[in-house]
Amino acid sequence: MALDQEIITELVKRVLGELAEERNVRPKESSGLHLAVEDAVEHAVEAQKSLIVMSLDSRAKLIAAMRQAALDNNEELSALAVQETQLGRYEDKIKENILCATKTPGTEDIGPMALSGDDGLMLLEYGPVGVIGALTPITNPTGTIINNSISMVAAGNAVVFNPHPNARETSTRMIRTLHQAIVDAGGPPGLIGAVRKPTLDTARQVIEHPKISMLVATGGKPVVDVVLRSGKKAIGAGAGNPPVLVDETAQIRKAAHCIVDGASINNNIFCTSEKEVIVVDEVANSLIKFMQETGKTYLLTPEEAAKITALVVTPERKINPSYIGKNVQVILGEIGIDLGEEYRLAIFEAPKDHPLVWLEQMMPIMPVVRVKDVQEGIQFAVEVEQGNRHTALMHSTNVEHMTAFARAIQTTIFVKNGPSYAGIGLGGEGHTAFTIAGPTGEGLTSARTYTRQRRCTLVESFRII
Amino acid sequence: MKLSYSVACLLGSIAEAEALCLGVPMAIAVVDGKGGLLFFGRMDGTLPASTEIAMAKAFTAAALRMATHEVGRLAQPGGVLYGIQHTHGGKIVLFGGGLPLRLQGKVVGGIGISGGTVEEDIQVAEPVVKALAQMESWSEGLGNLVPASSGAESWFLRLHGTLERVVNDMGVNLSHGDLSILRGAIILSCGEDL
Repeated sequence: MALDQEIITELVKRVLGELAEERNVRPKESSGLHLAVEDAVEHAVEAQKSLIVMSLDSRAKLIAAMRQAALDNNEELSALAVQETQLGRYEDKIKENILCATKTPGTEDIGPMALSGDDGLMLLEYGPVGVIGALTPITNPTGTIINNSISMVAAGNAVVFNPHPNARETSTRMIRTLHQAIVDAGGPPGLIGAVRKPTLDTARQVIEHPKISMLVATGGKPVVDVVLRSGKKAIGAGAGNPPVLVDETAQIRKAAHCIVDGASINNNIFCTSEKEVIVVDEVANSLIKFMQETGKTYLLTPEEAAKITALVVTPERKINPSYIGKNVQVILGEIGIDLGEEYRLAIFEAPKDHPLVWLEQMMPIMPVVRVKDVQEGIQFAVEVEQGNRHTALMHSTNVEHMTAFARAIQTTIFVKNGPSYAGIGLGGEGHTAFTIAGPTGEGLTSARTYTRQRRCTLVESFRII
Repeated sequence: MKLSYSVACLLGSIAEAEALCLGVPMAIAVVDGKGGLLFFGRMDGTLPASTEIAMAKAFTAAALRMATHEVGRLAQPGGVLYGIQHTHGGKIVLFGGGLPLRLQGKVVGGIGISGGTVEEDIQVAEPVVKALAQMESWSEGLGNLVPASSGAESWFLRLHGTLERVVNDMGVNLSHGDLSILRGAIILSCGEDL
């Protein structure tokens, strides 16, 4: 045996030294990342207790620090997101993060409501729910985490994330960055956190953990279904298939620009992005011509469209995941079409039953369907939206047409005369959210979504008029 | 001094390595001082009957404080233990492959191996006994270096990785078996509750 006791003693000393170091250092310099879900939850529980005794003013400072950290690290995180997930476009990720960092409401969103009358005063306050478990998607890992973190912390909660495993690197870096900002601004460590290696198994642990009181799922239908079945209060943001309807009264050139910009942002991976154009026949030729004239749109010939369809739609009528979120040059390159860098979108004329009309393609390939009039357009758009009630868009100057469509389609977001991203606050009024809770009805989530209402009644006093 | 679950697992992995060397799939059982099962493993392709035999061998060795082949010798017609196999409802084995495990000179458990010939079974079981003795000797050499309270669960989980890293850093050439024994020694010196 080559080992003598001296070497063994030395070995063990070093091992003990390292183990002790890990143990002592971790709680103090927590990075927000943990080995096990249990650790993350324990830290979150403690951190949330510390947060609610801090002043609102201090909480607002934490939010400001998170916003700043997201902006300061934007370039690095955007590049990493595109590199790791192979989805979207760098310049659009930059926009996405700026949007989330600046237009996610903070503590102002949880202002109380008061009612006074003959019987005194009723005060309604929005209290935290505690520790929230948040599942975040592969498509917008940075934006969703910025948006959720700000909203949840502003409402006085702690959050344990379980990011999509295929966006692990980006998501954990994002969480670490925001966590550091919170700690540097005097907030409790562990307020936001995640396991180092999120998997489906850790997702299950987060969902089932008794100390997590609310679940938020941003992603596909399967994950939303799982949290809705958890027996806990759950908020789900599911998929959509937003139609954009263009009628004969629209400003066609403007509509063309809006559709190209909205459908091509991040290569169509936003769930709110235009997924099919439905256009009244009378103006269809003009619309297509104007879309081409933007210089960013390539019109596929029927033969090319058939080849592309065969490429991106599998024989089982599913979207081929290899092309999701890819640049149009990459996809068209597969069938030998060489496009310049200025192109962002390819369009083609499609019959009503074309698979890309009905599927959420999440890539910059968009079908254009002709209808004879606005009535047929409304009816067809409602059909292709398939009851998701997610997002719909219309370009029109006829108030009655717009009202009729909005009433018929019942979506959470309805954008008129603008690109789809205006509906999530980018160039449109209102706050932003990357968790759009259609299925559970909260709409564009914000701090107030992550609260529980508490009523305080003072009898016969404090009506001071 | 008791045999802990963590040490039993390590002993099981040492037996597995020996069986792999021999190229014979084995069932491996480790019991505590009263014959209660602490660890059991059955490698792919093991003879189905070996499950029960391995557990019975480990039980016999621990309960009678002697090797199973020794029990067999004493249980022959005319021997002092003749008929003992009828006293424990079929749990006494009279052929080799079960050995008692000792710490501080006292039997604290048993190892039972089954799957090969009796000779092969013994060949796998013996290194396990030796490994435990080595763990004990190294752990005595460590004295009070390892604090008694250090055996928290998370500490155990991290022990293996940290040990491997330190061994690499120091450039010590250690076999897989030695590494397991060293882990065992550290666990043993945490104190008897583990």
